[in-house]
Amino acid sequence: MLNKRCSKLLCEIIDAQRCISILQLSKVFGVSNRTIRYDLDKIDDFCKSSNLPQIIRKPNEGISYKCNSVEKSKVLDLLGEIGLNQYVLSQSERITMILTELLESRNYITMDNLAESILISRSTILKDMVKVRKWLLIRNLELKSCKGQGVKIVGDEKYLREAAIVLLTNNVDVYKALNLIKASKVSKSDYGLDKYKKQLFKDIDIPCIENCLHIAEEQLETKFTDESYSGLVIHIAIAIKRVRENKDIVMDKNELKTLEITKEFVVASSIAKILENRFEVVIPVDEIGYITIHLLGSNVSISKNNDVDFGTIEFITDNFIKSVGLILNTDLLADKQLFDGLIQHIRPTIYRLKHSVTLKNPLLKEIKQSLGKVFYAVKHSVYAIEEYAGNKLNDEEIGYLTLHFGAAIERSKGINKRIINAIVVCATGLGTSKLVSSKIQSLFNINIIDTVSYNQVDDVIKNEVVDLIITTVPIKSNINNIPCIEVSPFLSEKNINEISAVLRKYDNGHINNNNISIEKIMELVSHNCTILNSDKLAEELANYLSITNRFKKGVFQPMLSDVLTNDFIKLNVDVENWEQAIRCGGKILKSNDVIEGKYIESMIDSVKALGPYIVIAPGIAMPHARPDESVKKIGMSLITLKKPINFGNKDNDPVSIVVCLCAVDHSSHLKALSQLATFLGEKEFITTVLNSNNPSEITNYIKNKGEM
Amino acid sequence: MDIVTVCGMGMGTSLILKMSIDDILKKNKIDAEVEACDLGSMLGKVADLVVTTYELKSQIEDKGYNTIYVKNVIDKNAIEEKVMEAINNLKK
Repeated sequence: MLNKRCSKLLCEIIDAQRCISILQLSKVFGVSNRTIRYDLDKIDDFCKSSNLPQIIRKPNEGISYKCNSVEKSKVLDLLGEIGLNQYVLSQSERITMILTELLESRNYITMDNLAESILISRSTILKDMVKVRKWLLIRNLELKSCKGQGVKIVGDEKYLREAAIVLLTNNVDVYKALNLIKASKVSKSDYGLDKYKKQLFKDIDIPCIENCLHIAEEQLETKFTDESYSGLVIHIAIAIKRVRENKDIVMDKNELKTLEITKEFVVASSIAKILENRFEVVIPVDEIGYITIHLLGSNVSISKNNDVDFGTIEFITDNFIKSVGLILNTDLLADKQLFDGLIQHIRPTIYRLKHSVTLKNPLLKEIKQSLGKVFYAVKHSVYAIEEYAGNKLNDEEIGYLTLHFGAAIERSKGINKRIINAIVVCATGLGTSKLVSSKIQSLFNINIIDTVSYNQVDDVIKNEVVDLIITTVPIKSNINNIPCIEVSPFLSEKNINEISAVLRKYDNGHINNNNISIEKIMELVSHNCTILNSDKLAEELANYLSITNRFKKGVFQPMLSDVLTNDFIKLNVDVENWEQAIRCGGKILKSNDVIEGKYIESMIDSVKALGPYIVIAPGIAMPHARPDESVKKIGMSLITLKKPINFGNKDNDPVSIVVCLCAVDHSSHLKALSQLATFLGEKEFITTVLNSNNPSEITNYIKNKGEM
Repeated sequence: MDIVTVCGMGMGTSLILKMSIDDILKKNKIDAEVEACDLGSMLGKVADLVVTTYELKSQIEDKGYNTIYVKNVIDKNAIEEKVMEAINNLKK
């Protein structure tokens, strides 16, 4: 008996084609090592009973599965065909099945019938019914029970259909749902439950509906995105099913009137004609109105049509961008691509809002994680859209809007040269792919010709020279022998390596290897000009060249381990008074050519003038003076005193560690100083310093701990 | 809120103090600007709170600032206690 996780686990192991450790697997599935081990035992049993090779466990290497292609397809077939008697359902899966049965049925069903068809006990069904009722209640539906006959879902036709769609897209993405009802054979990751859903549409001619939509696309001069395309197919399929059962939808007369004047209504009517012929049903005008709403909600029109409200939407979009930009402190108004993309997106969004059509967003969790700040900014800026549409935007819609901004922000970061022609494919061709393409462009020198939705791939390839396809959704690989890389929407390290591997095949030098170093530029500038503010120059150069902060920090803000090397440490020094101690520390700086002798006097003078405040903590003094021309570069020396010396600080005397510090300005030594302060606050470090006989003991300590 | 950390040169002790206080503010989710400066540039600055060491007390106490003094510049816990107390007083 395999459950969902076991099946997925087996797929994962087979797909890996190399050893995976149990730890890795436990991370992938988010369960403990122990659970993975139990699951592996279950898989062993399953393989044994199906006469398949066993899982190979190798100590210190991990788990692998060796099988030839015949055996592999057998495994996948078996997983795909796992029947209910082999498959252990979770509660949510049971509830989905119960709801499906109930929605499917035209009449009352008894509990016994339900129990029998789902192969679970009567008492389990009764327990699940509580949740089923709740689920229905949220969707304005009611479960009516009748003695001796069983139960039945009752409610408005509109809500019944909405429920059916929610159910169908509940556990799977919309486009996966489409594949599910379309494909003749379930893919390897689909199990008993998905197959069950497929049954819903067994008597509907899906290709015919798809055909209608292609016609609609042509008539409307538009391309549906993958999500709305799938959504439309499913909506229409459900509509036909319901019409056949004489369950018509009723629309508000006024609403219908406003719909009738739209272009989409004309298209919907012609679709209805085709459907009427094919399915031998009569589609009432209300039903056409219903299809019109969905067309309006899906339409991502590329042409600026004679929409009366276009100006208003432009205005809203403009303000929307301004508001988001204000919160994120980035000016995005100049980004034409963002504006156009948003206009195209917001128009159907408003229709969806007006008619409460919900859109699924399978990426929502990832978006919230990776673009949390942007998401928040968008959420706080959508009020104008909400006001206009008279309805609240849910997080799923906001997620899509966020993607547009995420892409724009990525765009604003990079400037690139272009060589290879690539297209980026995603479900919508608008959101995810834009984000991915900006990311790719900031990493590689690629010319991204277009971002397209799944449906458009074939068209684009026909018309353009494409060297590479990068996709976030599974597509059939190797179209016209063009390499195709499937990536996660947020480009994992693995994805980046895959892309660079392909690019290397074409030619060398497509990777934007940040060969430009701020250090080098600064060196050149300082040779030929007088620099007034080196920090600011470096920072502005880094900004302009889009070189990461890490880079400039490494150069202009040395780490403690860069500054405090063995040559700068002297242990167990014998001195008589504080002045000698400072001189001793200063001498180290001078002999390393960091300062001129004058600086030592400045350090001593400052103590004389301002008092012994340089004793910053018990036993620790940090003499220093103002940055001036006697300092050549950032430096630190550390000495330990054989016998502790009083500096005259009543709280922190006597001193046994003296760290002399010199800096060229007020900030570039910040990093090193901050590390030093942290170390000095640690007892372990102080003990190490006081007990060491060799400077390298201290520097090694800093190196080892400082890397954390 | 503006906080100024002060030491003789504005690049050693005051910087360490600034970094500690930045961390403390972050930890306690308080929004404030922290600036490090030397005694000379201190005068004429607007500050809600000044943080410095005891050794400089005599030089700063008559300047009319709301000042707290610390003994050990790298003892974050002691600094946190004093700074948070001062900030809470300011809020009242």
